[in-house]
Amino acid sequence: MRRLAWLMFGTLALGCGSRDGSWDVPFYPANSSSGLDRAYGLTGSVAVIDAPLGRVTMLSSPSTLSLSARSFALGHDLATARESSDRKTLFALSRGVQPQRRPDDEPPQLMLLDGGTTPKLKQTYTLTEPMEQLVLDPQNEWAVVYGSSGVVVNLNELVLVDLAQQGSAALSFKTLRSFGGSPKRFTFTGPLAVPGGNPRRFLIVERDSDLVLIDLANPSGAEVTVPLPSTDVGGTASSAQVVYDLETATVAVRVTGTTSVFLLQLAAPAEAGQDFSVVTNLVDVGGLPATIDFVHNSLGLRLVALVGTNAVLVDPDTATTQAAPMPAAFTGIRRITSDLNPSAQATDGDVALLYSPNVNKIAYFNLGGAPGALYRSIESYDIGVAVKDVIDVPGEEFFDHKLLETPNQQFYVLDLSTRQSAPMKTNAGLTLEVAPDGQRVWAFKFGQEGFASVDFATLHPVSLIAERPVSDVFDIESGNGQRTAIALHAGAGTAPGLGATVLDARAPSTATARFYSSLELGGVK
Amino acid sequence: MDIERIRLAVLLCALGFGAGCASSNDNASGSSGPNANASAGSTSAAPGADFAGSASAGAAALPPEKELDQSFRAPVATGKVLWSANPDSGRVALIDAKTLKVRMTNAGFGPTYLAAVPSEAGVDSAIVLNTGSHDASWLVASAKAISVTTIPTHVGANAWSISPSGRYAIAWTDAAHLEGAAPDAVNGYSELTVIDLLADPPSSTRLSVGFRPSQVVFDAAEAHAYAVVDEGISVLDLGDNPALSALLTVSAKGSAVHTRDVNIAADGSFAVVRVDGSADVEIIDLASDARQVLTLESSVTDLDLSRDSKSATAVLGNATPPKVVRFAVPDPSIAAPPFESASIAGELVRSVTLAPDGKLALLYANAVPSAHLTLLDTGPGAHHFGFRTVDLQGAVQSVYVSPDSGTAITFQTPPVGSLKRGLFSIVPTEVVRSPRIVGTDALPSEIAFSDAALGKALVTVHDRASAARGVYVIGLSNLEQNFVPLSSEPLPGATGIVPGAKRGFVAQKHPEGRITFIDLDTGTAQTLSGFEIAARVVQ
Repeated sequence: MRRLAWLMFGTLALGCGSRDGSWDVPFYPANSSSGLDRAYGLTGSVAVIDAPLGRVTMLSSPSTLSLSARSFALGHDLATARESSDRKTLFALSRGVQPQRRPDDEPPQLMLLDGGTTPKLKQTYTLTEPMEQLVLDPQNEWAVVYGSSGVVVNLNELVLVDLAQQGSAALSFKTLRSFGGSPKRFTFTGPLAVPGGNPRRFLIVERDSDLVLIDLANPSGAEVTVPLPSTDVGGTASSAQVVYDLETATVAVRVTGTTSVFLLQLAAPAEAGQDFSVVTNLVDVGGLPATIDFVHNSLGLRLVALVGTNAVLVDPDTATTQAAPMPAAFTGIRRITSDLNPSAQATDGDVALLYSPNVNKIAYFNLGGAPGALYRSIESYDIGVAVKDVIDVPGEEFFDHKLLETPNQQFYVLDLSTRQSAPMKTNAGLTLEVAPDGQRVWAFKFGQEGFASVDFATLHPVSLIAERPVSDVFDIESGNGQRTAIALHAGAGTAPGLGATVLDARAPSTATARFYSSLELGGVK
Repeated sequence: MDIERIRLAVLLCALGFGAGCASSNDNASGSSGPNANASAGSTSAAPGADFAGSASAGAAALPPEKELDQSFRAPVATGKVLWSANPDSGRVALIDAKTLKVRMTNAGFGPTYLAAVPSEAGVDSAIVLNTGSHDASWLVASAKAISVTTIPTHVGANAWSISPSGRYAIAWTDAAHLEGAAPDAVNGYSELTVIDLLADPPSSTRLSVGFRPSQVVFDAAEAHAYAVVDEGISVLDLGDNPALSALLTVSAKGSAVHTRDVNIAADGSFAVVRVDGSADVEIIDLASDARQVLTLESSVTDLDLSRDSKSATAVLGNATPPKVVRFAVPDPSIAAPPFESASIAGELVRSVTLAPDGKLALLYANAVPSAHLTLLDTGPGAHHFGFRTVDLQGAVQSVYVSPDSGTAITFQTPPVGSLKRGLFSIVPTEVVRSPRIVGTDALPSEIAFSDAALGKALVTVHDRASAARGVYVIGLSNLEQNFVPLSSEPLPGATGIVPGAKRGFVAQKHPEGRITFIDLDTGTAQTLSGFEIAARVVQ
């Protein structure tokens, strides 16, 4: 009897025991002001940040229309997260327990999650200090964390993470020589053919009034600090854009308030102990350039600067300029040479697309002709809308297509080969999500039930209506090799929690779509 | 004081003196001389030629002619490199004009006025005045390093005179080129600093030479230097201990240095002095102070020494008709060649520019508007002292002659009715050919000639108001001109040639430094800016 009483008491105790507190924490989608996105589209999964619980719920699709959810702890006090440029990895930077009072308090860390069809923890780098900012290398070789959140912060302290390494060996701690500025932007270059050595990559750090060049082949070596030129009226200038050319190891910087473009030629070492030297030059392009880029014409490498209604070509060696009049004041340029001909050589001359958010035209800038024919190298097309941005289409089938995004977030599909543009009549304010397989684009507007898919092969739009307002749409690879579209319902509209509408991306239809709700509760129910 | 006066006055032509006089009269009639085959239009014979203004209309009341010269504040070229000082940064850039490689070195506080210093082969040398620290930085650049030696100077120096061998550099104050407000009437800027660069360390000697020096020159042996001051000519003994040895007074008729035209012979042996409004030409032996005064028939409005200093050419611009007189120096004799004269009838002629080869005198007037340039043949031959006049369509301001004497370039002002802001002309001098008249959108301000082999010239034009600016690259043999726009305002006196690199250059106003280099073979321009930044790159 006594034994039975104890058994009943024990059962009661178990039944009345408090559940994990996380069940009582409501799901709030992250917002950009916190340094986090609501969700990140990866190759085979969608990562949804559950900031209050410091975790990420990875949604994947084992088979068409199915959905699986798995949560991963991201570390204490999440600072920021980013997906890699190839969308294979999610990077999450956490501050850890601060201040640390016990040896086993969680340290700051950078966590890498595999974003494939079977999400898993890939790598963790333990940091010594909590950091706020994360910058990722487009070539996925390096990450930079910086912006300490300690009591005293050195804004010029960087931690370079070599992603090919593991553990502490991957970390290079670098305090930039400072003349008063702090990092504003980072550019990872490709391998620059610096004379006197093997091609090597550089990290260019743009600061208030200077640039810092860090040789990634020797990240612990001394960096090179290059002051920016003054504005044309003698004031302090800042960098607005950095571009580079691999073959000539030349970096061009668009600088605010000056009609000159700042050129940095990375040259062979000039003195003992140097890995390289820097030769600077300023080239006047005749006006304040809206944008710059490197291109090739029949004479070789040129820097092109769009200045008013002129495209000014600069020979970086001689600093001489040649102006091609443009039919309008284009402010954006995108090289499309390899989109038109993947086997094009530099000597063939580049083709560039010119556009502007203020001009209802686009133009093709053909640099392959004779230098003397520059006046007829620009051919414009009146497409009736201005272009804010040009979005690439990945993959091997529709690489010659571009999405032209208008200032009010409508879009055009432009076929570069045929020079045909297909306007897509839409409601304003659309967000575009190009499928990583390059077969279609998804368009949606945050908070609305309607969304759509446009197939690049047919340019046929399929309009879809979800059961709840849509916050994001992602196109991921399914576990069975098919494509799945996931329309997230996270923080859009009045419905609480995290839901998803899952569709066959290649044949989207609400008739066959499946709706999943309460994903924030730890899995698919 | 041994003064010999030779009075000529009106005797010259009254006596029908010399073949030259007769020849010039002949030419004035248009019966012979190089103008005989001159084409109609822009090139014309002298008689009856139109000109703005009138030689006979109150010639005596005409203002004195203007001597136009250039600023010292400019880059200087040595060999194939260019030195450029930046007073704001305190640095001097050494730019290889071929490769555009920039080397920088620190000078003193406010390095401003540069001068090239002759040096041995393979070494480039220059000296710069630091206006803030009142000293000079002597810069010597080898392939590997730039050495800097600081030498004290007097306060306010803004000009250099460098001896031919490079041993002495004299820093002085040119009141005509002071920056800022006009100098106080009592400020004489009389001090100069003699620097002996051969001494180890270089020595610096400050001397007071007189009121407002206007030029400082050396004699051929570098034993003496001469400073032209309001009081006369101060003689400096150089050697190891420079000292002031004498003050040679100059014609009492002109006490203000800028109303006086002092020409010192290339070897420093004598000076020839004219004074505005005076018919006297004073020749002073600078070693002995022996003097001669040549009194011509009318006041001398301009006077130039030939390059070899063997003859002087004086313009009697107030005579009717104007006359040009050439005579030997330092011992003029009315009884022997080359004493000769020519009347330039029908022309307004008050200034002269001599060609380097001594075979041509270019006559013009710039104090009153005159569009005519008269070319007087002073070389031997059938046309000796014959002349022809070309109409350049706009009032001539200054005349420059190429090193081979084959071409003259005139800076002018456009005529009434022209929409152009500026004007210059390219005038062939050895052959009778129409001048190339070039209207410009800005005033011509600077000129530089290459050597004769390259045969190029640069003419910089600049208009601060309209921001029009650029440089004309001129082919002297074919009168070709090509315009190269400049990105920013050209600096005064900063158009030049880097002979070792066959490149011209135009330095421009830019906070980081800007120089446009022009390949004189191809005409390709290449602008280098921001070379100051190069020095601030931290590696």
